[in-house]
Amino acid sequence: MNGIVTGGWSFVVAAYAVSGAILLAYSIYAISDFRRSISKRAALNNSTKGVSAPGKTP
Amino acid sequence: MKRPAIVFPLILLSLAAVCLLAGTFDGLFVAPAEQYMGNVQRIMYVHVPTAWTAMLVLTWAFICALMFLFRGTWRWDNRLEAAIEVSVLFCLLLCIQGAIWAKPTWGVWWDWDPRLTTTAVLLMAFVGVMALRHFLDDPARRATWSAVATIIAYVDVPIVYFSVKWWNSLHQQPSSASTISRDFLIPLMMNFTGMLLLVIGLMTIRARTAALHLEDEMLPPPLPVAIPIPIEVMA
Repeated sequence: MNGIVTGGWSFVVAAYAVSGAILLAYSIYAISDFRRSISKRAALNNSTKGVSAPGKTP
Repeated sequence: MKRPAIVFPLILLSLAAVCLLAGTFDGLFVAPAEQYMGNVQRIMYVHVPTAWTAMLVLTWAFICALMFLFRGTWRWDNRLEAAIEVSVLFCLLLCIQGAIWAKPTWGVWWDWDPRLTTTAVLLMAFVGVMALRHFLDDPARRATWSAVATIIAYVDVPIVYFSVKWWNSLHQQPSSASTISRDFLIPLMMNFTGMLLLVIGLMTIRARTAALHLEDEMLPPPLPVAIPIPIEVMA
Protein backbone atom coordinates (compact mmCIF):
# COMPACT_ATOMS: atom_id res chain seq x y z
CA MET A 1 0.00 0.00 0.00
CA ASN A 2 1.80 3.12 -1.22
CA GLY A 3 -1.19 5.35 -2.02
CA ILE A 4 -0.82 4.84 -5.76
CA VAL A 5 -3.75 3.37 -7.68
CA THR A 6 -2.57 0.63 -10.02
CA GLY A 7 -4.44 -1.03 -12.89
CA GLY A 8 -7.99 0.19 -13.29
CA TRP A 9 -8.24 0.02 -17.09
CA SER A 10 -11.47 -1.96 -16.75
CA PHE A 11 -13.05 0.98 -14.87
CA VAL A 12 -11.81 3.45 -17.49
CA VAL A 13 -13.25 1.33 -20.32
CA ALA A 14 -16.54 0.93 -18.39
CA ALA A 15 -16.87 4.71 -17.83
CA TYR A 16 -16.27 5.52 -21.52
CA ALA A 17 -18.43 2.64 -22.80
CA VAL A 18 -21.41 3.48 -20.55
CA SER A 19 -21.18 7.21 -21.38
CA GLY A 20 -20.87 6.53 -25.12
CA ALA A 21 -23.74 4.03 -25.12
CA ILE A 22 -26.11 6.34 -23.18
CA LEU A 23 -25.32 9.41 -25.30
CA LEU A 24 -25.59 7.46 -28.57
CA ALA A 25 -28.88 5.84 -27.54
CA TYR A 26 -30.37 9.20 -26.53
CA SER A 27 -29.18 10.86 -29.77
CA ILE A 28 -30.79 8.10 -31.86
CA TYR A 29 -33.99 8.39 -29.80
CA ALA A 30 -34.08 12.20 -30.22
CA ILE A 31 -33.64 12.03 -34.01
CA SER A 32 -36.12 9.17 -34.49
CA ASP A 33 -38.73 10.89 -32.26
CA PHE A 34 -38.34 14.10 -34.29
CA ARG A 35 -38.74 12.19 -37.58
CA ARG A 36 -41.79 10.35 -36.18
CA SER A 37 -43.40 13.66 -35.18
CA ILE A 38 -42.72 15.12 -38.64
CA SER A 39 -44.26 12.07 -40.39
CA LYS A 40 -47.26 12.18 -38.05
CA ARG A 41 -47.75 15.85 -38.88
CA ALA A 42 -47.42 15.17 -42.64
CA ALA A 43 -49.98 12.34 -42.42
CA LEU A 44 -52.36 14.61 -40.51
CA ASN A 45 -51.98 17.37 -43.11
CA ASN A 46 -52.60 14.92 -45.99
CA SER A 47 -55.68 13.44 -44.30
CA THR A 48 -57.26 16.87 -43.76
CA LYS A 49 -56.48 18.01 -47.34
CA GLY A 50 -58.94 15.56 -48.91
CA VAL A 51 -61.78 16.45 -46.57
CA SER A 52 -64.01 19.14 -47.99
CA ALA A 53 -66.44 21.35 -46.18
CA PRO A 54 -70.13 20.35 -46.39
CA GLY A 55 -71.82 21.65 -49.50
CA LYS A 56 -68.63 21.98 -51.52
CA THR A 57 -67.25 19.63 -54.12
CA PRO A 58 -63.92 18.04 -53.29
CA MET B 1 -46.65 24.73 -42.68
CA LYS B 2 -42.92 25.38 -42.67
CA ARG B 3 -41.05 22.12 -42.18
CA PRO B 4 -38.66 22.36 -39.18
CA ALA B 5 -35.08 21.80 -40.34
CA ILE B 6 -32.87 19.18 -38.74
CA VAL B 7 -29.76 19.94 -40.81
CA PHE B 8 -28.21 22.41 -38.33
CA PRO B 9 -28.52 20.13 -35.28
CA LEU B 10 -27.22 17.18 -37.31
CA ILE B 11 -24.13 19.22 -38.26
CA LEU B 12 -23.64 20.01 -34.55
CA LEU B 13 -24.00 16.33 -33.63
CA SER B 14 -21.46 15.34 -36.31
CA LEU B 15 -18.96 17.94 -35.08
CA ALA B 16 -19.59 16.75 -31.52
CA ALA B 17 -18.85 13.15 -32.54
CA VAL B 18 -15.54 14.23 -34.13
CA CYS B 19 -14.49 16.21 -31.02
CA LEU B 20 -15.52 13.42 -28.64
CA LEU B 21 -13.74 10.71 -30.63
CA ALA B 22 -10.56 12.81 -30.87
CA GLY B 23 -10.74 13.76 -27.17
CA THR B 24 -11.34 10.16 -26.13
CA PHE B 25 -8.44 8.91 -28.25
CA ASP B 26 -6.15 11.57 -26.78
CA GLY B 27 -7.34 10.89 -23.23
CA LEU B 28 -7.00 7.12 -23.48
CA PHE B 29 -3.87 6.67 -25.60
CA VAL B 30 -1.87 9.93 -25.81
CA ALA B 31 -2.10 11.68 -22.42
CA PRO B 32 0.27 10.24 -19.77
CA ALA B 33 -1.03 8.38 -16.71
CA GLU B 34 -1.35 10.56 -13.60
CA GLN B 35 1.35 10.14 -10.92
CA TYR B 36 -0.85 8.83 -8.08
CA MET B 37 -4.15 7.76 -9.65
CA GLY B 38 -2.55 6.02 -12.63
CA ASN B 39 -4.81 5.12 -15.52
CA VAL B 40 -8.01 5.55 -13.47
CA GLN B 41 -7.49 9.32 -13.75
CA ARG B 42 -8.38 9.00 -17.47
CA ILE B 43 -12.04 8.84 -16.36
CA MET B 44 -11.60 12.56 -15.58
CA TYR B 45 -11.57 13.36 -19.33
CA VAL B 46 -15.18 12.23 -19.61
CA HIS B 47 -16.44 12.88 -16.05
CA VAL B 48 -15.37 16.54 -15.72
CA PRO B 49 -16.73 17.65 -19.15
CA THR B 50 -19.99 15.88 -18.26
CA ALA B 51 -20.15 17.83 -14.98
CA TRP B 52 -19.41 21.19 -16.64
CA THR B 53 -21.94 20.53 -19.39
CA ALA B 54 -24.58 19.41 -16.88
CA MET B 55 -24.12 22.66 -14.92
CA LEU B 56 -24.49 24.72 -18.12
CA VAL B 57 -27.60 22.82 -19.25
CA LEU B 58 -29.16 23.18 -15.78
CA THR B 59 -28.46 26.91 -15.90
CA TRP B 60 -30.03 27.06 -19.37
CA ALA B 61 -33.11 25.30 -17.99
CA PHE B 62 -33.27 27.92 -15.21
CA ILE B 63 -33.01 30.74 -17.79
CA CYS B 64 -35.74 29.13 -19.96
CA ALA B 65 -38.01 28.84 -16.90
CA LEU B 66 -37.50 32.51 -16.02
CA MET B 67 -38.00 33.58 -19.64
CA PHE B 68 -41.23 31.60 -19.88
CA LEU B 69 -42.57 33.18 -16.70
CA PHE B 70 -41.63 36.70 -17.87
CA ARG B 71 -42.49 36.43 -21.56
CA GLY B 72 -45.13 33.68 -21.52
CA THR B 73 -44.24 32.43 -25.02
CA TRP B 74 -44.42 28.73 -25.92
CA ARG B 75 -40.97 28.86 -27.51
CA TRP B 76 -39.42 29.13 -24.03
CA ASP B 77 -41.55 26.26 -22.74
CA ASN B 78 -40.35 24.05 -25.59
CA ARG B 79 -36.76 24.99 -24.80
CA LEU B 80 -37.41 24.30 -21.11
CA GLU B 81 -38.78 20.83 -21.87
CA ALA B 82 -35.66 20.02 -23.91
CA ALA B 83 -33.32 21.41 -21.23
CA ILE B 84 -35.02 19.46 -18.40
CA GLU B 85 -34.72 16.19 -20.32
CA VAL B 86 -31.04 16.73 -21.22
CA SER B 87 -30.32 17.85 -17.62
CA VAL B 88 -31.70 14.57 -16.28
CA LEU B 89 -29.60 12.63 -18.81
CA PHE B 90 -26.39 14.42 -17.85
CA CYS B 91 -27.03 14.21 -14.08
CA LEU B 92 -27.63 10.47 -14.45
CA LEU B 93 -24.44 10.11 -16.50
CA LEU B 94 -22.55 12.10 -13.85
CA CYS B 95 -23.70 9.78 -11.06
CA ILE B 96 -22.81 6.63 -13.06
CA GLN B 97 -19.35 7.94 -14.02
CA GLY B 98 -18.76 9.10 -10.43
CA ALA B 99 -19.61 5.64 -9.09
CA ILE B 100 -17.24 4.00 -11.59
CA TRP B 101 -14.47 6.39 -10.51
CA ALA B 102 -15.25 5.98 -6.79
CA LYS B 103 -14.83 2.19 -6.73
CA PRO B 104 -11.09 1.99 -7.60
CA THR B 105 -10.15 5.23 -5.78
CA TRP B 106 -12.36 5.20 -2.65
CA GLY B 107 -13.06 1.47 -2.51
CA VAL B 108 -16.85 1.91 -2.67
CA TRP B 109 -19.32 2.53 -5.50
CA TRP B 110 -21.27 5.09 -3.49
CA ASP B 111 -20.74 7.19 -0.37
CA TRP B 112 -23.09 9.71 1.26
CA ASP B 113 -20.51 12.38 0.66
CA PRO B 114 -21.86 16.00 0.34
CA ARG B 115 -20.99 16.29 -3.39
CA LEU B 116 -22.52 12.91 -4.28
CA THR B 117 -25.59 13.41 -2.11
CA THR B 118 -26.37 16.89 -3.45
CA THR B 119 -25.90 15.64 -7.04
CA ALA B 120 -28.29 12.74 -6.37
CA VAL B 121 -30.81 15.23 -4.91
CA LEU B 122 -30.42 17.36 -8.05
CA LEU B 123 -31.07 14.34 -10.27
CA MET B 124 -34.17 13.40 -8.26
CA ALA B 125 -35.43 17.00 -8.31
CA PHE B 126 -35.22 17.20 -12.12
CA VAL B 127 -36.73 13.72 -12.52
CA GLY B 128 -39.59 15.14 -10.43
CA VAL B 129 -39.93 18.17 -12.74
CA MET B 130 -39.97 15.85 -15.78
CA ALA B 131 -42.62 13.66 -14.12
CA LEU B 132 -44.68 16.77 -13.34
CA ARG B 133 -44.70 17.68 -17.04
CA HIS B 134 -45.94 14.21 -17.94
CA PHE B 135 -48.76 14.26 -15.38
CA LEU B 136 -50.28 17.62 -16.38
CA ASP B 137 -52.50 17.62 -19.46
CA ASP B 138 -53.26 21.33 -19.69
CA PRO B 139 -50.33 22.93 -21.63
CA ALA B 140 -50.57 26.31 -19.86
CA ARG B 141 -50.61 24.83 -16.35
CA ARG B 142 -47.87 22.36 -17.29
CA ALA B 143 -45.60 25.13 -18.58
CA THR B 144 -46.13 27.42 -15.58
CA TRP B 145 -45.83 24.72 -12.93
CA SER B 146 -42.75 23.15 -14.48
CA ALA B 147 -41.09 26.58 -14.83
CA VAL B 148 -41.67 27.25 -11.13
CA ALA B 149 -40.50 23.72 -10.20
CA THR B 150 -37.34 24.19 -12.31
CA ILE B 151 -36.49 27.42 -10.48
CA ILE B 152 -36.96 25.68 -7.11
CA ALA B 153 -34.90 22.63 -8.21
CA TYR B 154 -32.12 24.90 -9.52
CA VAL B 155 -31.44 26.11 -5.95
CA ASP B 156 -29.47 22.86 -5.51
CA VAL B 157 -27.00 23.71 -8.33
CA PRO B 158 -24.87 26.23 -6.35
CA ILE B 159 -25.08 23.86 -3.36
CA VAL B 160 -23.61 21.07 -5.53
CA TYR B 161 -20.82 23.39 -6.71
CA PHE B 162 -19.87 24.70 -3.27
CA SER B 163 -20.46 21.40 -1.39
CA VAL B 164 -16.75 20.47 -1.62
CA LYS B 165 -15.81 23.84 -0.10
CA TRP B 166 -18.51 24.12 2.56
CA TRP B 167 -18.27 20.59 3.96
CA ASN B 168 -15.53 18.05 4.53
CA SER B 169 -15.88 16.06 1.33
CA LEU B 170 -14.13 13.00 -0.08
CA HIS B 171 -14.57 14.52 -3.53
CA GLN B 172 -11.58 16.56 -4.68
CA GLN B 173 -11.68 20.36 -4.88
CA PRO B 174 -12.32 21.94 -8.29
CA SER B 175 -9.19 22.51 -10.40
CA SER B 176 -8.57 25.40 -12.76
CA ALA B 177 -6.89 25.45 -16.17
CA SER B 178 -3.82 27.09 -14.59
CA THR B 179 -3.26 24.12 -12.24
CA ILE B 180 -3.66 21.37 -14.87
CA SER B 181 -0.83 20.15 -17.10
CA ARG B 182 -1.28 20.93 -20.82
CA ASP B 183 -1.19 17.19 -21.62
CA PHE B 184 -4.26 16.70 -19.41
CA LEU B 185 -5.99 19.90 -20.50
CA ILE B 186 -6.10 19.09 -24.26
CA PRO B 187 -8.30 15.93 -24.06
CA LEU B 188 -10.37 17.58 -21.31
CA MET B 189 -11.17 20.63 -23.45
CA MET B 190 -11.74 18.54 -26.61
CA ASN B 191 -14.29 16.41 -24.80
CA PHE B 192 -15.89 19.50 -23.24
CA THR B 193 -16.24 21.11 -26.69
CA GLY B 194 -17.74 17.87 -28.02
CA MET B 195 -20.22 17.62 -25.14
CA LEU B 196 -21.21 21.27 -25.53
CA LEU B 197 -21.90 20.81 -29.26
CA LEU B 198 -23.76 17.59 -28.48
CA VAL B 199 -26.12 19.19 -25.95
CA ILE B 200 -26.80 22.20 -28.21
CA GLY B 201 -27.68 19.80 -31.06
CA LEU B 202 -29.77 17.53 -28.84
CA MET B 203 -31.63 20.39 -27.16
CA THR B 204 -32.39 21.97 -30.55
CA ILE B 205 -33.89 18.68 -31.80
CA ARG B 206 -35.86 18.08 -28.57
CA ALA B 207 -37.18 21.66 -28.51
CA ARG B 208 -38.43 21.31 -32.11
CA THR B 209 -40.01 17.95 -31.26
CA ALA B 210 -41.66 19.54 -28.22
CA ALA B 211 -43.02 22.32 -30.46
CA LEU B 212 -44.55 19.71 -32.81
CA HIS B 213 -46.11 17.82 -29.88
CA LEU B 214 -47.52 21.08 -28.50
CA GLU B 215 -49.03 21.99 -31.89
CA ASP B 216 -50.67 18.55 -32.01
CA GLU B 217 -52.07 19.05 -28.50
CA MET B 218 -53.49 22.45 -29.40
CA LEU B 219 -55.17 21.33 -32.62
CA PRO B 220 -58.96 21.56 -32.41
CA PRO B 221 -60.65 18.16 -32.00
CA PRO B 222 -61.66 16.59 -35.35
CA LEU B 223 -65.20 17.29 -36.53
CA PRO B 224 -67.63 14.39 -36.06
CA VAL B 225 -68.07 12.40 -39.26
CA ALA B 226 -71.65 12.62 -40.64
CA ILE B 227 -73.21 9.17 -40.71
CA PRO B 228 -75.86 8.79 -43.44
CA ILE B 229 -79.14 7.70 -41.84
CA PRO B 230 -81.29 5.33 -43.94
CA ILE B 231 -84.58 6.91 -45.12
CA GLU B 232 -86.67 4.04 -43.76
CA VAL B 233 -85.39 4.67 -40.25
CA MET B 234 -86.10 8.36 -40.54
CA ALA B 235 -89.63 7.66 -41.77
